[in-house]
Amino acid sequence: MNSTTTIPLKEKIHTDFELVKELDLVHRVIRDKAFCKFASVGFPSKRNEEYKYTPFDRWLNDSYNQQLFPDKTLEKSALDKILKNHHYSNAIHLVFVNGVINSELSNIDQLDSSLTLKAFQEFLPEDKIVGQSVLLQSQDPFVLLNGSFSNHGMTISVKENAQIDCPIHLIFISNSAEHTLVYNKIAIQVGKFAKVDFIETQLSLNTKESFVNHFVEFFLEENALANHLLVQDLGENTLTVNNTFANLEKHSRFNTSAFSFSGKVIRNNLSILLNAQECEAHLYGFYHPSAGELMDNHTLVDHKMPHCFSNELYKGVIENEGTAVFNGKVYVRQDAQKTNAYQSNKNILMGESSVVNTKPQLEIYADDVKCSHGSSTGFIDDESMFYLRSRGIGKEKAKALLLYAYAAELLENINIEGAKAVIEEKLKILFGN
Amino acid sequence: MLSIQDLHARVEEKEILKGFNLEVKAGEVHAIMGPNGSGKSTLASVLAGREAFEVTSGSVTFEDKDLLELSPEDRAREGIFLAFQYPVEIPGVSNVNFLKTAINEIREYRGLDPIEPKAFLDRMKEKMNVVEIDKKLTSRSVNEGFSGGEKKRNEIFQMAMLEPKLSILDETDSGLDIDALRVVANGVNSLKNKNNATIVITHYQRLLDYIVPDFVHVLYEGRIVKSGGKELALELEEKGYDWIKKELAAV
Repeated sequence: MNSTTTIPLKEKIHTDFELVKELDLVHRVIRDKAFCKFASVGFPSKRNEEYKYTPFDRWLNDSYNQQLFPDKTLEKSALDKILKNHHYSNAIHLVFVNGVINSELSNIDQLDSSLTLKAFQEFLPEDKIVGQSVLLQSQDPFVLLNGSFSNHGMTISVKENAQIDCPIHLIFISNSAEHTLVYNKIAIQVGKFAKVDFIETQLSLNTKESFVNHFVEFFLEENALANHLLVQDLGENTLTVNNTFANLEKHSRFNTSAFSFSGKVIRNNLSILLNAQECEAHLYGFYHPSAGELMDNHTLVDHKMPHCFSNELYKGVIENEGTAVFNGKVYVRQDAQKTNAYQSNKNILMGESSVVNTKPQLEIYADDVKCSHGSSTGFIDDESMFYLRSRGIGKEKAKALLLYAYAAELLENINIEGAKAVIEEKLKILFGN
Repeated sequence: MLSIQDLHARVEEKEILKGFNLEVKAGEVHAIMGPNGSGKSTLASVLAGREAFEVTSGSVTFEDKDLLELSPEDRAREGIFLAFQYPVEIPGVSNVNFLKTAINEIREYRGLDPIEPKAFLDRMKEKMNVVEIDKKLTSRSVNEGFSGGEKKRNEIFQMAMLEPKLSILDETDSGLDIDALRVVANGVNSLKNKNNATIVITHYQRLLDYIVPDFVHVLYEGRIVKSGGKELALELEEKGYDWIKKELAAV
């Protein structure tokens, strides 16, 4: 499969799929369904409303390799080096290299006994928690592709009532010297009254442009609480689509914060489905595209039932010649009376050629709800700059103070012990504080 | 200390200062009064280095340096302080961090090491007493959610912390009730010494009951048209600015 032919991905993906199908008979039916649907949708172009600003068909022209059995090896020293700035002292590591868990680099033995890991090979088609339900409903080409091709995922189950003290740090590293497609797939089930913290770090050692198709699904049972922190620092050779789903049952809570520091193209699809009453979701995001980078956050909060609460804040700093996209959908269905839903998106443009496309999208079908949304985009405030400078603070330092203060608001949503300080430090360094 | 000669300045295409002259020596308090639109705030902005204001001719010398050549931060580092008419709210930047950064940037410019944490805290404590500012305010973000009076008090607190040579108070009295006015004025008075100077820019005389000026200048249509002692302020209060306008028309 590691062919070196130069047939464009769009064409060779069909023959690639025939090979995958033959290898995995257990999941053949579901793969077939997913791929069939993908084939009718195709790689998204500009004409696809959802991918208007991130037309992946433009970028996925090279002959990317599908790796059915990816190389999961990585030198410990290389891992230590890349993790230097992503170190959470109290966390348990699970390291995935090119989508496959590397047990030697992970501390699986230190995991709490109320956690169960299960590899993809042990998944059964009827398992609820491997994302099959999402898969069959989704129209997203990358969810469908992940369902068609991914072969090395993992499920993590947290027992009822378990209170997991140490955060679980999922580290995803793509590492390839040729154009490669990497599939990550994780499903997380949090039992009733359980509490757990997840940190996801997405990194890259790719020396040639590669594409990471990332899929994570959370299932929060009644009264469960999951805190989630996502850090993306993917460098110049990686494009990614990151699909995250969170299914919330009664009285459950989901807090998620995403920090996108670098990556050639990052597309995050975050979907939070409030399936029962009195659920609560907080979703925060920070993105900092540099010149030539594109960061696109599409979020969906689906209020299906009454008395739920959601609060969303996404903030970007867009460097000159960097591009950002924000699309925030909030659905409040007819049954979802007494909903509280808030959304805010803010952008600071650092140069004349910084670009942002932002679109809040609220659809409200219930009549007794409190909802608000707001969006603002502008340059660094001149008045604030002048005020700081008039007190003797130099231009660069003043800018650093203002940008850090702006981004630091997002730290408020990080509830994971020890993690706030790590991100705080990263933001300070980023803005030269 | 400060010498302004034949200063002309404009905003966009409109000329506002039209030949402004002023000499300020150490230890002096000057009041600049004038009706709306006479150029008071423009003067403050030009001295602090606000970019929207363009100096078309004239000179400003501060302690033998050409002030107009300096960036806003370098003017502050040389010892100029502007108390803003409308102080800006800066969410997320704490007052303490802001002041420490400012003090250290000024010290670096002057070739000094960063201030010792203990010395900084002591100075904070001392100056908070001088301007009667609440500890709760200083621990918050810069001016965020402050009332008008609290913002002005915070300006004077910053002035006390930075110990400038020349302070320019731009309409510091506007929007202040009588108690806040007294506190602000007491702060300014207690910081006064023989080595520093103050320019008080105001529309009304009432601030000058508390900060007694050595000189009063009347600014009208971009120039100083009358100068005198503190009694000039009282005369202005009594007769109004129309008196000046009539006098000028008669000439």
